[in-house]
Amino acid sequence: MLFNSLHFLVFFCFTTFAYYSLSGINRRLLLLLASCYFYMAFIPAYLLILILIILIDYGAGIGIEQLRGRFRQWMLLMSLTANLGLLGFFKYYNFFTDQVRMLQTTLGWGSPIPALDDMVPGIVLPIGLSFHTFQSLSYIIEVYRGRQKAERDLGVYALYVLFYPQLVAGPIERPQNILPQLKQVHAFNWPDVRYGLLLMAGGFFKKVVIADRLALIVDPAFGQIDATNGTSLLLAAVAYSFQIYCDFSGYSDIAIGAGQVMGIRMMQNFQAPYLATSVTEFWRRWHISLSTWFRDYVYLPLGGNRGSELRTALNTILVFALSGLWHGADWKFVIWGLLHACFLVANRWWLARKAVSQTSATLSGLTHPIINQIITFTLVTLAWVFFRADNTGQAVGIIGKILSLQPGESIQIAVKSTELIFSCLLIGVLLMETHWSHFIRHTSNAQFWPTILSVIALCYLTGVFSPNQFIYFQF
Amino acid sequence: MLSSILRLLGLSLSGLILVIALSPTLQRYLYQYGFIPDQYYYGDLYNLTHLPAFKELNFYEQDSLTTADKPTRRFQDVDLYLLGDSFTNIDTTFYAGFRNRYVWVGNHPPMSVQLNKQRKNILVIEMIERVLQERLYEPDYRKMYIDGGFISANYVPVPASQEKTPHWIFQRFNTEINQRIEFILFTGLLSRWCKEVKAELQLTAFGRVSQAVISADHQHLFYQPEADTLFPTNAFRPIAEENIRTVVKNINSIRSHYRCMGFDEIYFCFIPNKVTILNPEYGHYNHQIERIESHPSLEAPVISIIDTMRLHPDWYHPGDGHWNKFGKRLWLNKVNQLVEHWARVGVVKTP
Repeated sequence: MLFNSLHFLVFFCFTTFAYYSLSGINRRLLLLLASCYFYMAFIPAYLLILILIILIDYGAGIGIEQLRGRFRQWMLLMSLTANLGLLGFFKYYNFFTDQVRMLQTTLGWGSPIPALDDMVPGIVLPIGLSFHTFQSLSYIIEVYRGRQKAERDLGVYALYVLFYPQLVAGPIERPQNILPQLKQVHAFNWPDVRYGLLLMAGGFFKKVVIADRLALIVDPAFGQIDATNGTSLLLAAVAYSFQIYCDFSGYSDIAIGAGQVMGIRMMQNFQAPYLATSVTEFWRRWHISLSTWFRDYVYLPLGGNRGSELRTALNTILVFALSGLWHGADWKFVIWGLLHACFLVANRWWLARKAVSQTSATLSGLTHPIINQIITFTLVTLAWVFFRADNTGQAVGIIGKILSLQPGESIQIAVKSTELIFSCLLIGVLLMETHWSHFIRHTSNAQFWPTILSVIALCYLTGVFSPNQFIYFQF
Repeated sequence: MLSSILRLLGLSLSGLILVIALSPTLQRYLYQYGFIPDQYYYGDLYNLTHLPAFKELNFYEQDSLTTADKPTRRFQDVDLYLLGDSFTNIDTTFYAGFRNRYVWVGNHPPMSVQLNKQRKNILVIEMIERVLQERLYEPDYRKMYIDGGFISANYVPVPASQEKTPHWIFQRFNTEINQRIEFILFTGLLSRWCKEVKAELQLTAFGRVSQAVISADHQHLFYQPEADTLFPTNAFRPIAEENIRTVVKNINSIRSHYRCMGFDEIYFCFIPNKVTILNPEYGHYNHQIERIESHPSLEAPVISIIDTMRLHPDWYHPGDGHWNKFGKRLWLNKVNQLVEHWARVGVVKTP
């Protein structure tokens, strides 16, 4: 079920009204059933996979807590194998066999390994698999580290994984934040509901008015690279940077807002990332729930930045290569991750130099925040080209065309100039996002109704209602 | 107290909508009894775009045939069979055969028939231009026009690739659920007005229409698959001669199949897309129908209507992708003339 669908609107209303009409354990049961229904609206059968994983992790969590020594490690290993095995099977099997097949062709060895679709016709990646796998792993690792008690109530644990607002595209929550909230009975609190609804409305605006409008510029350009000149591809690449931001942060806003309406507070996932003055800061503001996940469970256990410069650089490269692979089983995602790793390593090196020679750095124009923001945005946009392109070759082709663009080239886009101007205005509106966040937190009852009705009217009148999925659904 | 009433009201309403949306049967029932308005009341293209300029207030008047269109005479020794689509989904009493049978290809199950060898059995297969490149290739042409058309009682269709009927639970959650909710909630007067305001704004400010294509002069609306160059079936996509040859070969195969089944003749009629008649200069038109109809390898006889339709662009609805009653009359005349022709042949076959 897509958040930007009528099905979700009716489902959300029904679930919320029912939630506040019930009490205690019945609420949890309702949320559990509603979350199952939500997931089944994509591919019903895949709910069984999710239930299996929930049962394994639930048992493993209790086992880890109760057992000692090697048995604890066995339980952890079993859970990690089940979670990562499933992720690997659905998401990386074809990628792996493609590489093996290429090697076999090159070396002329043996018969080719069958693709996943050949073995199980019609098989597709369960929606949101990477998200709920990471959320499950987060629970198991925290229990193993002794920072979270194993959950004894299967219903509560199942809801921790299945909770519908964050089930398919995050935020990837930590058990310490969500599990206690799921056990509480949240009384109806109008200011919370009001804030949640406004957050959701803002998320819808970002998705249907901005992201899906920018898709009208991006998709035709990336779809017909040969027929599109460098200037237009540059415009499309910049538009994509904003499209993916509005698409994903819009989703997160709707998810967090939906949780807030029911009194459940989820972690913030974005914080005006394009205002970052360095790539390091960008990663503190972009997809926060994932970047902190990698920080806590991969980067820090590897040693983080406590070792030598070289070791820190290697840790960064490894984490971002993994982050790229997490997004998709394709070299283009790995390159996207590695590009970010390079930017971060360079940024760290630059800061170290700056600390040594403060005077020369101050003299450099590059220290001005706006210039730094522009440089950061340019680097991030460059990396997004790999993210958006169909494959690595196409991404290289696009960057080549952009770098060789001729001044004065006409802009070839599939939309009218008014649409382009309106899109630019909307991107300008994004600069006021922090004000919007502040406003909706402190809005009064008198301001609420005109505000939400205006946002709904704007979404309706200027929204692009296409069957576009959220970009991050594919992960 | 008030909040409890509001909560109960919200819960009941949203629950009711969800239940109806999940049940196509219940929705059909409500539609039948007028609880849900007819979404095609002003034409299907208007329903997609909501552009007021294309709202046909007299749509049904312009679309419906009357008893005057019924044949004055039925020919006792000719049975007429028709395979068609939404263009020819007409009450079979309008045809002049003794026994008239119609199958809506792809929309209805195949019809099992026992041909009466005492009479002449004529089959007319109608196809809209935009589906020719979609349906007339392997395995679709066989699946749709042979296994999905008229079948004899002892006919065993070629086993299709392992296709399973979706489980009921899958059917409930399919993408149409959003469409069903929209029909329940947003087909009233106020929502229609809102949709029209949005459509006008979108067209005026951004030159866009939803789910359809508008001509450059904003005078005509077309389905996306027939005019939008992003769709592989559009009338402006070049078609290689080899593709035309394959289509013709498969048309001949369909004819051979039905001839073997006992039909005396199989006629084909290709209805031109609306854009082909009203706005062929929208792009570089591929002349698909003319190329098939005049192909030297084509063995099947054709009922050609493209030239007549070109003389009467007003035979298409402004707010719909289909032809109106005048187009339907042309079709009926052509088919009923054929029946009359076979009746005049006059040779009664021996069993």
